[in-house]
Amino acid sequence: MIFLGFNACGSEKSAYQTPVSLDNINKIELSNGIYDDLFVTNNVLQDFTAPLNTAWDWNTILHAEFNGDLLAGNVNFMLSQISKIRCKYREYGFSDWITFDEVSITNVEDLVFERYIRFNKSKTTYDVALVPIFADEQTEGNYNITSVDSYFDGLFVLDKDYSYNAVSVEITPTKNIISGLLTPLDGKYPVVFHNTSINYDSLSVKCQFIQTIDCELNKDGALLYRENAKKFLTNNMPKILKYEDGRIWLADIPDNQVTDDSSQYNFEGYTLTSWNFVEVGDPNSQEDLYENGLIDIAPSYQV
Amino acid sequence: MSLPILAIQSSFDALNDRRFNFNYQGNQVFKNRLIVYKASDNSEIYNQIQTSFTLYHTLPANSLQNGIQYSAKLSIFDKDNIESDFSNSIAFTCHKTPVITINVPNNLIVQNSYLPINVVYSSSDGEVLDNWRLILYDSGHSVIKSTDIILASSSMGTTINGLENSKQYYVEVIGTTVNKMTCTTGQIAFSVTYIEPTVFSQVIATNIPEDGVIKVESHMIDIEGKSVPDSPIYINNNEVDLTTSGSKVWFDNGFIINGDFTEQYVLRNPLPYQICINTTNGVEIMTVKYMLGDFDTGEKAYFLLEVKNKVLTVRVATEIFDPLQVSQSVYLLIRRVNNLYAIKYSLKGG
Repeated sequence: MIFLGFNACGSEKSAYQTPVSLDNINKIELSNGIYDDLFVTNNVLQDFTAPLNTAWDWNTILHAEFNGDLLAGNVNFMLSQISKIRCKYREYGFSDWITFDEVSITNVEDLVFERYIRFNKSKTTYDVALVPIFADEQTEGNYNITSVDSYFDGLFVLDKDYSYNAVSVEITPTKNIISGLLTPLDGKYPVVFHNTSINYDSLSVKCQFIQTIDCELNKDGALLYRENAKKFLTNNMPKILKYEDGRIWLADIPDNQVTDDSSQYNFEGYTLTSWNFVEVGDPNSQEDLYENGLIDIAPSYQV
Repeated sequence: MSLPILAIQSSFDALNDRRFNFNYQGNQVFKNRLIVYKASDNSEIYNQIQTSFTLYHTLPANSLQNGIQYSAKLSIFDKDNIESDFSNSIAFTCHKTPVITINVPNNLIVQNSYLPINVVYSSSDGEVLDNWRLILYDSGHSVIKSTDIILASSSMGTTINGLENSKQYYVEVIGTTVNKMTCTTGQIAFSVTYIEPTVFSQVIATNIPEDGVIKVESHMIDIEGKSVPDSPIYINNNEVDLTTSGSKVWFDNGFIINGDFTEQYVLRNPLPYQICINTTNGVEIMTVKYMLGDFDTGEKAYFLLEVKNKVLTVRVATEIFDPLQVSQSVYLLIRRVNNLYAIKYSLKGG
């Protein structure tokens, strides 16, 4: 009995069942019948009258027709709608992604690929994501994410094309800021002032460039490897320096001097190479990596 | 008496009140006098004393005119009403507050993940824009991203990328003129709604310590069901027969159903009282059974939808109908909108 819009339970909807939320459905199981078709869509606006329009669109989630197989996807439709897969990574626990590559997609084979994250730190967990991009080249789709622990031994000096490994590493970083000192005429203490936000590391690096092949140090090839590493160090381009303890710098050589020291020479190739670096950017910044020529993908956020 | 020091003024709009700050080290200040001269002919435009302990003088709105350069100086009075000498003289210009606008109307609905922004600046009395920046806020007015300070040019704009679906944002552009006036669009609300492309891809990331890199592999996942037995019985390569005991087909890879949905099944010969359809997220379950029962009009059938979590069960049934013959196919529709469920059946070809 409803009186003035209220019933014995309070209101006209009080006797409704408490809704049960069912979200993130990831399994549909059929049994105990003969099935001809299964169609699932996010579209809830079309008439709730059978038969539904089962043409594929972006609301379609799956459609199985059981024509001698159990296929329920439509790769061709997806391929017609996406232009590329964007490859991203970020340190676990951080929110900003770095896009390190974009893979153009024109056919199914393009969706199977390998890419490499080069500017990862050691002793760090990374989230890695592959993100489909709409044909408008802007709109991002779902993030397919996995995680990986990053670790390595020794020192790596690298850019987007080349990488050199070193052992017996000594890194001496110095933190630099710029400040001035005022000495008042009638005061006891001076006044320190800081007129710039300059704050960077300068590094003195000494290491032995030697390649590791099958877990063995390649002493025979050390001379050539070291010479190539020195050419690389002096190519006038910024580089990434990363060490096994988790430290990483985006740096460049300020004085273009790389020297060898063979005073500790006790077997072929045991020569320490030393040089200076100054930090020129943030290796966790898409913008800094791009502006220093270390990745080809411009920052996706202009804002 | 020592001299007050009058702080430098940036340009301001003469239509608004303006505070002239000064510094004074000496006896307590009881009053202050501000005198403003027109720079072009040195004529006195404003000369007022304000009684206040505070170290500023408020120039009332409309005391000056926009587009004109002025100079000002200030003196103070102590408790004995003795006036100090005048402070340093400062020069400033009044300008009407410039207008900065963007091509985003309030409450715009953006049907994309990006929003191109064009910035338009105008000043009625020639005040020149020096720089601007754009700030993006979330729905709680917290700053998400901000551009660097961008120098003004004839064509000003940027693009906000990476807007998330079904989110509300605010955008604001703040301009600063060469005379340090600021102007703002205010925070303009907009909402984002678009269809996201969904491609399921298996991502494998492997650390390669010898090279100090991480290998990332992509493998496309198509949605393909699994079955018991491995090779299910197909009828005319058109239907799958799951009526034998223990046989089933399931889909559990390459898709996720989020939010509202509509499902359509075409089936025949459902076994009575058995679960035909089982849909789950691992915690909650939605099942469909084909039921038979005796009604006033004789034996009838209906489909029963049950949605269960650990505590509650929601049941919804179709209308009753005559029991299905083995050869009779039916459409079974299930829809969820805002956690409310509906189920409907109709005979195929009926």
